[in-house]
Amino acid sequence: MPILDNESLLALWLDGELDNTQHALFMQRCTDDPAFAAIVAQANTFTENSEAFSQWSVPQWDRSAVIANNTSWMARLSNWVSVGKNNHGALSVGLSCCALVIALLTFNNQLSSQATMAQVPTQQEIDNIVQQKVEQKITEQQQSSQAMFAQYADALHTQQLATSKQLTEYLLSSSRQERKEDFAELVQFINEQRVNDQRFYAQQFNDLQDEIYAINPSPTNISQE
Amino acid sequence: MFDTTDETLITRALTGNKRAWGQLLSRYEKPVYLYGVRMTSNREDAKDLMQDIFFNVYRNLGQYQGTGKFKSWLFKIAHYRCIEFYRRKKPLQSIDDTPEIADSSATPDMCYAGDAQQQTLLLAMQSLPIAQREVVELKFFGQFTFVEIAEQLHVSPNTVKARLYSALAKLKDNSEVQYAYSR
Repeated sequence: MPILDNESLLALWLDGELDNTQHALFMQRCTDDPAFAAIVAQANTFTENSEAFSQWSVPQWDRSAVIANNTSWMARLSNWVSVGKNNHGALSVGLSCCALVIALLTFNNQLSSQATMAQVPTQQEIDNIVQQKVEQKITEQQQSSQAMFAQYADALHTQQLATSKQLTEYLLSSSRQERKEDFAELVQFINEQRVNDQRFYAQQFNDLQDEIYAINPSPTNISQE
Repeated sequence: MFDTTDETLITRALTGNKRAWGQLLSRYEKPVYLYGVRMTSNREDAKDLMQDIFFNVYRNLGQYQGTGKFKSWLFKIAHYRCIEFYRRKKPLQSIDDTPEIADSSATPDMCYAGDAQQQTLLLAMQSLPIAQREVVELKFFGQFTFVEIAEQLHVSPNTVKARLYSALAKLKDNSEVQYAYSR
């Protein structure tokens, strides 16, 4: 036989579900356990006095207030049910769509409200955000300036190279022409000097011939010499 | 013998039949009122609680499935409203806490209400925590089985048995103390 604890035994006794074995156990427990017996006696007292308040009457109260307070929504419910009974399908579909739209809008509003509430920052957070924005702007400005300066430097370098190339070409071409001209002048000068020298030597030879003829007028001597 | 069943009255009340609702009220207002008296130990509070219970019963009448006894469903609502009543009255007190009783003598309201035996019962009930008081109320005065009480309170039958046993043990101790003081 399973051993029943006091709580289960008392519960079976109160519900009147004790079989013969359990009843014997119950009586034995009442005899052996004075605390359990006292609790059973307490339960017995309550059972005997369960009708103690039966002569009490209910005080006057406004019974119609229960219906009056509920009438408005009951009427709405009845109207809603009657709409369904009359098979106003289009109306039902329309109202369902409205409800769906309202639900979605409400959900979006809740989301935006929650997002707004979640984004309300403290003064410290505002300062941090401002600081971050300022640093970000400064960094962007530096980067753009550096890129622009790099472009300027490239452009200047390219322009400088082109200028140098033009200058070099000009210098080369100009010096070559000058050298040609110089050499031409030099050759002309040398040629003129040679012509002058030839004239000078011819004049000297003529003078010398004249002096020789003056010293010895005989042509035979001259031919023998 | 020709009493209309609760389910029939409920069906009629749901269609707006005030007479059917009146019949339901007259059938259950006394048990609900006495439930309130024993749970609150105050006639005015019991009256307010009764009105609140029936207001919620009428409002949720359409949700009654008819699967169990209407009385069990009614007292399930009564349980919720009673807990709500105590939460409004003492927000920081748990339903498992033993209430503080400033004076062991009966209040004037109780003296006016009944005889010495009823006063003793009300005082004894008042000394119990709400959770145990409810089990005693539903078992001895509501005549519900342990399974029905467990369903109403949303706890296991073993919990109900344990609460009742603890309540009776506490009542026994209190009665012994009172007996000792009276001598």
